Amino acid sequence: MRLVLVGQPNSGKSTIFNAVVGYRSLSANLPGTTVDYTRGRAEIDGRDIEVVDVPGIYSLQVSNEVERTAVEFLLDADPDTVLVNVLDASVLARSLELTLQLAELGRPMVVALNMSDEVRRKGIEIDAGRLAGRLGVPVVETVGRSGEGILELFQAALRAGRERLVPVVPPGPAHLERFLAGLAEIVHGRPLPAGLSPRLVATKLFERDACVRKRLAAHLTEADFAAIAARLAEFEAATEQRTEFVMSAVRHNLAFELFEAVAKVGPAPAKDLRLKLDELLMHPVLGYVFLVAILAAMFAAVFRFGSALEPRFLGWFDRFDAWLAGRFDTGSIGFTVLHGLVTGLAGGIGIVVPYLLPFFVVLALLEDTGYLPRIAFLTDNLMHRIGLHGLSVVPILLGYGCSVPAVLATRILLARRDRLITAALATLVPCSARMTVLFGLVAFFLSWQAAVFLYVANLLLVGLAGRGLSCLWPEESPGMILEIPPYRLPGLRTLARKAWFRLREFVVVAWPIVIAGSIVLEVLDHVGAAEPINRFLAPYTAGLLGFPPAVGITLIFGILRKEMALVLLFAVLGTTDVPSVMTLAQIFGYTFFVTLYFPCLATFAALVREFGAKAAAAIALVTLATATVLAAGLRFVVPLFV
Amino acid sequence: MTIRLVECRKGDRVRIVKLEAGRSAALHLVHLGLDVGQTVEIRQRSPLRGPLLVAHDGTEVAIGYGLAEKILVEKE
Repeated sequence: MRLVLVGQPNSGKSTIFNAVVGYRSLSANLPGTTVDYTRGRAEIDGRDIEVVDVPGIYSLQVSNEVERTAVEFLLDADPDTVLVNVLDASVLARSLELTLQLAELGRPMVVALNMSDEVRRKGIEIDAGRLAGRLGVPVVETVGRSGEGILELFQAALRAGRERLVPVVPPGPAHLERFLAGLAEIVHGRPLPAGLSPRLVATKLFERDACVRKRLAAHLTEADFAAIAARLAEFEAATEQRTEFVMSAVRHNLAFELFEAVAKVGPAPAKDLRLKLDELLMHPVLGYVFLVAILAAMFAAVFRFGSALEPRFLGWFDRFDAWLAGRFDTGSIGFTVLHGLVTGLAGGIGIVVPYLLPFFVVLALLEDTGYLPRIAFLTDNLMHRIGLHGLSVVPILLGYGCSVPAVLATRILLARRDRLITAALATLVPCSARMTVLFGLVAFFLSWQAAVFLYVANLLLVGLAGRGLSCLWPEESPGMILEIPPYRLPGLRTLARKAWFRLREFVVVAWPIVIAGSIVLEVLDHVGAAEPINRFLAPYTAGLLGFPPAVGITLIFGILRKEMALVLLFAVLGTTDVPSVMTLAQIFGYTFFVTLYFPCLATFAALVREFGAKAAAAIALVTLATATVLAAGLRFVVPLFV
Repeated sequence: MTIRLVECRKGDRVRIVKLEAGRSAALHLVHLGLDVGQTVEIRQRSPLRGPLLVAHDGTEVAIGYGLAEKILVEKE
C-alpha cells in the first residue's frame, strides 16, 4: 500500500509528511515550496508504508508544469494507492474543489482538514462527521505543525485502503450529466487504460485534458475523437462557454454547496491583526522602507553572529595545525596532505557553523512567517524590468548569503528559462565569501566608499545582465499570480529541523570539495608545480588583466572557495601589506574580478545538479567573459580616480 | 460600468465580469476562486506598474499588472 499526500499549495502536505517520515521535504509558508516528489517510509501501526509528498496543485485541470506532472502521477499510480487529500480547512470551500476532482479518480481516499486551529480562530465550525458522510470517506481534523490528528489520519488512510473506501462523486446539473453520459457512451465498450472509468474519461475529455487524451490515443479510433470533438464544439456553440471553464464553474458550485452543508461561519472576528500588519509591510511606500530595514537587520545579524564565531573556530584549527607541525616532518608529503586536510576541515567548519547556521535560521524565519511572498509582491515591478517576475527576487536575495542555496531556491520558479536566468543572476551577486574579499582588500586598503561602490556597481550589473539575458531569451511572462498566505508563527521545532536539513545538504555536497581542493593546493605547492602554472597563466592574468603574475594560482583556487583567493593572495605575495606589491588599481581590479569571474565549485556543482553540465558551463563561461572584459576595462579607468 | 482591474483603487469591491487572459492564466485565476461572477476586494496597490493584491473568500492573491489589465470588473 502506498499513501500519496495531495492537496492545494501551502495546505501543509510537507509538514504532515515530515511529521511522519522525519524532516525530508522542505516546508515553508510559501505556495509552491515542494516542486518535486519526495518519497519516504513511515511505520504506522507496525506496518511499513511508503508515503509520497506530491507538489501542491490547485486543480487537476492543468495550467502549469507542476500540475501536469502531478496529474500524470495520479493517473499512473498503482491500484493499491490511497490518496491522502490535505486541505487548508481555513479556506474550505476552495479546497473542496480539488477534493471533488480527486473523488472522480475513483481511488480510496481520506481527507485531512488541516490547520484546524486556524479554522477555530476564524470562528468557523466544520462538521467533519457530516463531511465524511457526504464524501463517503474518513475525514480527520489535523494540525500539521503540532502533530495533532496525524496518527488518526494515517490510521484512517490504512482503513480506507483495506476497505476500499472510494469517495462519492456528487452529480452536477442534469443537462451536464446528460451530456457527459453521451460522451461516455462513445467510449463505452472500448478497452480503456487501467484506472480510467468511462465517467472519468468523459469528464476529462470534456475538460480537454491532454494527459487523459494522450492515454486514450491507442484505445480510441480517429472516428471516436472526431465524434467527441464535434460534440464539444456543439456544446460550446450552444452555451457560448469553453467547456473547461464550465466544468470548473460546476465544481465551484458543488464545492460551495458542500461547504455550506458542513460548515457554520460564526461572526467574523475583529479585524485581524495580521491584516493591519500587511497595511504596513505591503504599503506602497512604507513597505519598501520595512523591506530594506528587515533585510539589513537579518544580514547584519548573520554577519555579527558569523564574524564573532569564525576566528574562534579557525583559531582552534590553527593550534591543531601547529601541533601537527611539531609531530611530523613538515617537508614530508604526508604532512602536506594532512595540512591540506586540516585547512579543508577548517574552511568547512569556518563557514558552515558561523555563517550558514544563522543564515538558515533567518531564512527559515522569512519562509515560515510568510514574508517571502510579500517580498515577491513588492519587487515584482522591478523584476519585470529585467525580464523576470517577483518570485525571482527570492533566490537573488539568498545569493548574498551563499550562491548554493540561491541556486537550489530557483526551484520555486516554474519555467526553466526563469530558473536559469535567475540562477545566473544569483551567482553574480557577491556571496558572504566574496564579501570577505571585498572587505578584506578593497575596504581595508582603499576605502569603504570603494567597497560600497563595488556593491552598487554589482547591483547595476545584475540588472543589466538580466536585461541582456532576457533579450537573448525572450518569453512573454504570463505575469504573476501568487497566493499570499496569511502570516504564521513558525514552530521552533520546524525551524531547527529545517536549518539542520539544509546544513546537512551543504555539508554533504560542498565540504568534500573544499577538503579535496585544499589538499591538492598543498601538494602542488609541495612538488613545485605552482610556479609553472603562474607562468602559463601570465599572458592572461598579467598581460590582459594587469595583475602581478604571482596571483595566477590564487584565481584557480579561488574557484574552490572564493575566500581562498584572499587567503592565498597573502601567501603568494609573501606579505599582508598588499599595497607594497600591488597598485590600488590592481587591488580594485583583482577584487572585482574575483567577485565575478566564475561561480565557486560548490555553486558550479549545484548548477550542474539543477540544470545539467551544459547550462552550468554556459553560466560559468558568461561570467568569466563578463569579468574579463570589465576587469580589463577597469585597468584603464580606475587609475584616473585613485 | 465595466472597467479593468488595474483601474480600481485600494478598498474597492468589484465583481469579475470577464477574464481576457490566456487559458493557463485564466484557469489559474479560476482555481484560486477568481472566476467570473465572483466579488473581490482590492487590498493593496503598488506604485507604477506593480502588482495588485486582491482578496476573495479568505484567499489573498497577488496579480501582476499585465494580467490585471486583462481582467474586466464591475464596481458594486
